[in-house]
Amino acid sequence: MQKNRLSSAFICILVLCASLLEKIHASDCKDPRLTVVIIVDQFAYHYLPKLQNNFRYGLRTLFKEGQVYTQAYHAHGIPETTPGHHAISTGTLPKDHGAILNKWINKEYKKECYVTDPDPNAAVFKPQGSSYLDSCPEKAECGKSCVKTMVDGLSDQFMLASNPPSNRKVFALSLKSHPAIATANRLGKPIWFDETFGGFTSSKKYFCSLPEWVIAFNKAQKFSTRSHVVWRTMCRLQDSMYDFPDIKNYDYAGYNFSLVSLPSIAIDRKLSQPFELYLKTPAASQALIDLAKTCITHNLKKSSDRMLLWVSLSTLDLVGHIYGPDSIEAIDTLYHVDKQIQDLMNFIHKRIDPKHCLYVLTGDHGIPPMPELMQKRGIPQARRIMAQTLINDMNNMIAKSYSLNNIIKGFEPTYFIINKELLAQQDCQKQTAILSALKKFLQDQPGIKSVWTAAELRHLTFQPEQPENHYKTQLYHDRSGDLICMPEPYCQITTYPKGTSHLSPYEYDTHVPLVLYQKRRIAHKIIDEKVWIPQLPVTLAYLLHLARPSASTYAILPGVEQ
Amino acid sequence: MKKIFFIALLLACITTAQARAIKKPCSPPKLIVVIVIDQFAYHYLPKLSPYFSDGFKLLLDKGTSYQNAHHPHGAPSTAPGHAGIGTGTIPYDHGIILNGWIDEHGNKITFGDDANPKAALLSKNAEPGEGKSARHMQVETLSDRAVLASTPSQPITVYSLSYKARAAIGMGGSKAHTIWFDAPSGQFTSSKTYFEKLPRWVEQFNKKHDVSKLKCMTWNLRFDADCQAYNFPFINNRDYATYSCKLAGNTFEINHQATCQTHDSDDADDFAEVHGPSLFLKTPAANKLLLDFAQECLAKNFCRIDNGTFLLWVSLSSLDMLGHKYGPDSLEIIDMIYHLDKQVGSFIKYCKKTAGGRDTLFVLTADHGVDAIPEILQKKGMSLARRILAKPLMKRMNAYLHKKYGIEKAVAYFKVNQFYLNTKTVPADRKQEILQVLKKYLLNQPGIKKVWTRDELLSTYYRPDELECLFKNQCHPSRSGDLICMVQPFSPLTKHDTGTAHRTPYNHDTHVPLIFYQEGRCKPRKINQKVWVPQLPVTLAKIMGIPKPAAARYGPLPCE
Repeated sequence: MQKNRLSSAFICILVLCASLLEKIHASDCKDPRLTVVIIVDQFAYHYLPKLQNNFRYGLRTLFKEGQVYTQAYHAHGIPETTPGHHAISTGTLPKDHGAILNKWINKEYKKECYVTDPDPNAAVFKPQGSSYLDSCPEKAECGKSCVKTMVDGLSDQFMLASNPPSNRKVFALSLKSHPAIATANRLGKPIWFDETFGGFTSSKKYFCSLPEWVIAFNKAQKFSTRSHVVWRTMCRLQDSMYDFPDIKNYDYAGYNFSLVSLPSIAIDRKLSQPFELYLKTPAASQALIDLAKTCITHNLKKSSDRMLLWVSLSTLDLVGHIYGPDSIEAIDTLYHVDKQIQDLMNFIHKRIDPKHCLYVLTGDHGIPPMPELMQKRGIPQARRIMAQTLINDMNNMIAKSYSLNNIIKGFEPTYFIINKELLAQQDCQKQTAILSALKKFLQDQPGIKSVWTAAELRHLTFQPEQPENHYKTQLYHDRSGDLICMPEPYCQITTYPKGTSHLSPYEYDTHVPLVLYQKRRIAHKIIDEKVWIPQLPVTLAYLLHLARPSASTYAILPGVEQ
Repeated sequence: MKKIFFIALLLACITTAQARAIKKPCSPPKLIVVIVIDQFAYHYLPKLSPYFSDGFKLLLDKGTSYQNAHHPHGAPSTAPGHAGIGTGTIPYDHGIILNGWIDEHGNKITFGDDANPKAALLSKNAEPGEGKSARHMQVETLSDRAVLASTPSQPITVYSLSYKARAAIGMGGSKAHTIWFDAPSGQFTSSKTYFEKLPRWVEQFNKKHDVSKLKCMTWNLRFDADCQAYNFPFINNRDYATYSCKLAGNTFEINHQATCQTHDSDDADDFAEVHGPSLFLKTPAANKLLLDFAQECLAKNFCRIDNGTFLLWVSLSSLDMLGHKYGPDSLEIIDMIYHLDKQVGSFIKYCKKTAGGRDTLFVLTADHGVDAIPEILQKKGMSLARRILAKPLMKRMNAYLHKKYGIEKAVAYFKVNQFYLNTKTVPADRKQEILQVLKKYLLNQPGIKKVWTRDELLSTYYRPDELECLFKNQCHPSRSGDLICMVQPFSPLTKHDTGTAHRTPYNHDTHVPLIFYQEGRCKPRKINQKVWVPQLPVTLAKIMGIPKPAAARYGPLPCE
């Protein structure tokens, strides 16, 4: 009897100790030393049911152990890298952050890239360290910064919360400049790959000079002398991991050759962008992961230091546009990304206790299959609508009916720009008639579902969930087009005769994975509730004890508790 | 047998105790205390809560905390904030669009001012025609509703106390016992709207605590000066503050002009004010005095409540008065919040002692937040930040219109993001054309994001979660300006060339704490769901078992 009581008491003490330890652990891992946000560019949710069972490494860990949101969507009608990364970093929509697309047509009818900044203080460095401006003064337009982002973001709030002696740092790494700059905001440090010279770089807006560790990394990677790269698939090509229809169909691809099948992929320095093909290989993705490791080694030293690290893996997007999501190139790229993420996590966990690391995985937008492949699969409404043909037809029609030449000045997905000066010269009645004729013309095209003028769209009322609403929230004063088109599903209004692009508000373009994972803090859970990607930075602000990005009106993601 | 009897007795006791514990919170608490801290932005919590040890810590640890509570208007300030807390609705309904506005005839209106002799001030030095009432409020408050619902068997007493009349009236409405502070005389006061004559206990308190006789003050820091709690960047930077003098941790003479210089050329009146007794209002001692006054109010009036409810609104204004001058990064503000932690803690203890812990419901919230000083943000690298000075802008607008139309001073007034046209000089038939020209002009100004005419804003639909909707909520057909501007984040459109304000729809200005705490009623929990602050009076009405204010747009808070 006495023995039983003693053993019961012992068990009770053990249980109490265990729960106490659990509590200590839980409080201990509240404020992560390192937050890594991995954005896989063009990581559509539809890849998951198809490939998830083949993931064996980092992606498998995240989906098996993290909090998984199965219904996470971007909330803009024309998903692209720049607005997608802004949603992830600022928690706002294009109508607020202003980065409506990767580029837009300005008031002078010139194409304007989101990242370009003519300010000499934004000059880009060559990967060797000197700036473009130092060697070629005519390249004043080579400046890059986030001057066109009109709100603050999570990186800004992370840095504004600096409180010595804790040292806070934000780095945003990507193969492309716009994702890096969009996530770094104003106070983080973006680093991206320079396609012309080869190697990672940044601009004067963020660094007085390119950090030594970046220059050393570029040197160690031998970008300046590398002549070729080899694409080694994750498994043998006969493996069931690649057993999908149309995986080797190159009939509609942007390139008429397979990158996977090439014995070696040349880095041809005679070309204006010698690294164009290199960036489409898993080797480029691995270089970015290696840069992330170097960045952590050099910048996260003391236990009181805190780092927010954005890693935007661009390769899938670069490959996906050319070959489409059904290609072996896209699928094998994801298998590599799976392994590369594990590689990064292993590296981090050797240095930092996993319970002090918060991971996020998501995508900036999705991708549709190539329209021609969809037609072959029996979806007859799928079609490619060539924008230039439409421009020519509209201009001819207006020239014929109203004797006005070149009324349409340009196209950026998926809107047309009207020559406003020419239109303003007409009387009111004629202006209305021209606009109506243009609208009707577009509306009558097979594959175009809706057409609005910007003014009409601004004043229409939609439910938040309506795809039409996502076009409305993508309007920004002086940056949006004049005639905005919404295509039918699987129809693309594009300037490219081949390949594919993500230019619609539909499932395949806006639905992306979203996973949060921190050992002992965020346990595995599947959340099927519909959520919006701009909720992510608000949630991260909450988890990192920061003020939320100031213009975000979104709520914290469900299932997240302190 | 004895054992069975003993177990049954024990079970019966437990069941009864549980039943009482469950039943008790369903009945209205005897005392409801709503503490509104003016300008207490939510962003202070993640930054400063590690150093809270008293009242704020208790509320955050033990209360139900709404972590995503926002004011639903785009240019938050004291009067609309308190009116929202008082009425459960938006400025479009309650009419208090700002602290003051211009009426249809071009007259400047200050919320609360009332020249009617029936609203005459009860201060000894009050001039004829000086009075205060809630006549500008177009809907009833929870306080009004509570007083109307009071019955002899279930009496409800309501007091509304603040340093600012607009805050006290916004919460108290027409029927609460509403008391505020008269800065020139340094005394708590009210008006005939609320009392025939000043209550004896108020007069006695004023006599005992005569602020007008203060000559010297010492502001002791809450912690040691080298404590980690003060280790924040720019904490001692006063380059862009309205006053250059250090108040926190300092001893200063209230009437000694040489101690403090103002940086703001437009702040001459305030410069005179800083050396007068109202400097006292910008110190932690002022918060202490108001909380002492609230304690006195309870001591003298709560004992009269037998079977009813006592609703006490306390709005602490000093953080706002100080915050405008020094900004949220300053030592002054940070230390005042640490003092508030302690002061609110002591006040909670007093209330619990007076009414009993299980019979006292505490609510903590704020009327608006505050933005950092834009120049300090620029120094931190936030290049987006800029100060848009309203007066030079208005001059440029008038020069532009004069050149284009030959009209003199077409823009007559600027009031918080709004421009009012001159009804005398602008011809009615050209008004719409001129508004469109000005709109285009303003849209080309760096930092200005959107501009609406009043009619455009009133007729455009925005979803409730859109920032633009917050401006629409604040737009009133006869009180709003002719042109309403929305600025970019960190770009205040202001009259002042130093200090800071809260005039934007962004989180730093709209996001505030909202915490409910009552032993036995509120579980310690954090609610992430987005809620609106005007849900507060609706929730209190539900707890008190009375109808919600007549125009309240919102439902009760979740899980309350």
